[in-house]
Amino acid sequence: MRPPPPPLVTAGVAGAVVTGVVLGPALGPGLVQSYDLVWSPDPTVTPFALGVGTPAPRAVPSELVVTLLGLAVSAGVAQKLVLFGILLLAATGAAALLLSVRPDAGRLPTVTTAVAALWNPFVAERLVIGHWPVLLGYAVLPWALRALLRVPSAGVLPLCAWVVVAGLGGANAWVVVAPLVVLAAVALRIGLGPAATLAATALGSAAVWAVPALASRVTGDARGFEEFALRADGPAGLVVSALGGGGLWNASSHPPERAAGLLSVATAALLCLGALAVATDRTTRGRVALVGVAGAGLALAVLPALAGRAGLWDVAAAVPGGALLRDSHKLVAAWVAVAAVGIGVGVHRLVSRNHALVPLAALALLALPAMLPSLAWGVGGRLSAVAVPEDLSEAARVASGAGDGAVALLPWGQFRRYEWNDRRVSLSLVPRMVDSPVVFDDSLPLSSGRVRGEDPVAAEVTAALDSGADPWRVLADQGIRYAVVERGPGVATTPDPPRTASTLWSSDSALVVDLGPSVDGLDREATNSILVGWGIALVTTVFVLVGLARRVLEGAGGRRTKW
Amino acid sequence: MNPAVNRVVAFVVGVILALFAIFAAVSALSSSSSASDTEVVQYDAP
Repeated sequence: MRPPPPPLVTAGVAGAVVTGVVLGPALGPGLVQSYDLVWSPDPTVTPFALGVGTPAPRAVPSELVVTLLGLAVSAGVAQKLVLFGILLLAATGAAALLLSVRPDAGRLPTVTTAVAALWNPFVAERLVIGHWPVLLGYAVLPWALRALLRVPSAGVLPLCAWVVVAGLGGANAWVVVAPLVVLAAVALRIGLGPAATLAATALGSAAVWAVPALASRVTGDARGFEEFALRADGPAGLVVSALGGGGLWNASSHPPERAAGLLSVATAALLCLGALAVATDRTTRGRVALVGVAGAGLALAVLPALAGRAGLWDVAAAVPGGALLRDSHKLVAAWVAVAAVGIGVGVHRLVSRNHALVPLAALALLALPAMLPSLAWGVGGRLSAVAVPEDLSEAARVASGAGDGAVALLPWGQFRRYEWNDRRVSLSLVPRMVDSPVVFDDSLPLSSGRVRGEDPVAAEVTAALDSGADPWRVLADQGIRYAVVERGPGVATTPDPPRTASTLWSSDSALVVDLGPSVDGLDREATNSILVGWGIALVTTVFVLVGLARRVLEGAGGRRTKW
Repeated sequence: MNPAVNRVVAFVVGVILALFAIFAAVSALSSSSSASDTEVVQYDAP
């Protein structure tokens, strides 16, 4: 008789099945475009992907990574690989962490942990808003914690490698993983040398976005801290929301079940039981570190929302890099990941105490999907792959090849409800499609008002338009040479261009206009800080890769490499 | 592993697949939202 597969393999298979159920129509032909998840059908290494023209680039290096992946396998396949891979990484990471701290856990606890890591409000809300980099951080965190607990036997390089992987997702993935892991490493006293290597890796992988942001001395809008603070996603309040993994600032991302107070409380109770199972199980290895990381993540997520009432948002907004604390809900990731592991620990404790309790323990496996059924099938159909109109791609190609000079995006505003995307809210695709610096309104319009952006040129354009100026005159005054005007159902209308302008492309989806050369033409090139940031990040990555390669070669020579 | 556990795991996978089917049907029947073409699209719009 063939032996049964190891628990981690079983958890991986279950994770793959559940990931398929969660993504559903998102895995069909085409591309998902939802809020911040916008994906060009034509992978191009644009200035936007390199962070050029953005004072505090947030999409580096993530945009370049997915572009390069798209060039290798096509944009559609790349998006599916990224979304599927991240969720599978989250499931297997939590399962692997469980098996690391409780090696005697069987298949039921391991599968329960994998399902809990996938099927929860945190994943649901971040999927809807398209924050795949945050989900990358969430997926990497359990692997990083596992590597952290193995530092005494395996060294610090595997941990550094996971920090580098998180760094590929940019600031939003990095901040979920690096600070908590570095703090935990210091608390665990892994040694001065390993701790210094880890800290250097964390800083080096952040350089690609941190150096340009610090050099530009850009500061955030204090209003953004208030608007993007963790908020209750149900009637049970802010803390219960966070304990259940929910509470993203954007209410439109909240699953409908969260409006039922009982379900919110039940979800929070289950995750609390998970954390409690870890905290009270003396045979769980590294339980203090796990509980510490979970508690720190939860506290860092909730406290800024409370601190705002004390006027601390103004202070955070004035500090360069303080914007990292905006949207603190992402740090709930640590709590959810550890709680998912803890649910597996709890199931293991139940089953090993009395085998007759297997059906009861299996309820834990069912509980989260039962309390959040809307996560199934692309979050209830909210994530669905669609075809991007070919003429929009052609317009982007025309604008890319038009010549030197900045390109403005009209209508002025970066969010769209494309008819071809079933009028779902998403960012405009144009900045990710045009191979020239694109000037666009980087402010964030909310139902409660506008959070100002960081691009000073865009701010001047916005101020002029708000005063009633003609948009074409405003663009010309800023030295902007070209404009891509998106049009069609679901897109606001723009006044016709002046007669002096020449039309380079016109179709149902877009108009490309050449406003003509100006004396002080606006052009944007890579600054020294951008080059330095990319250089440091690249050196850091190479350093870690070379170190790992050496370890693997040494392992092949006799010693076994532990991951 | 105990066959009972295997049955429980198979049951759970079945339940998840059933949910999958239910939400496929619900999403297919749901209508798309409508919005004015002239208004500014807000980041927190549903």
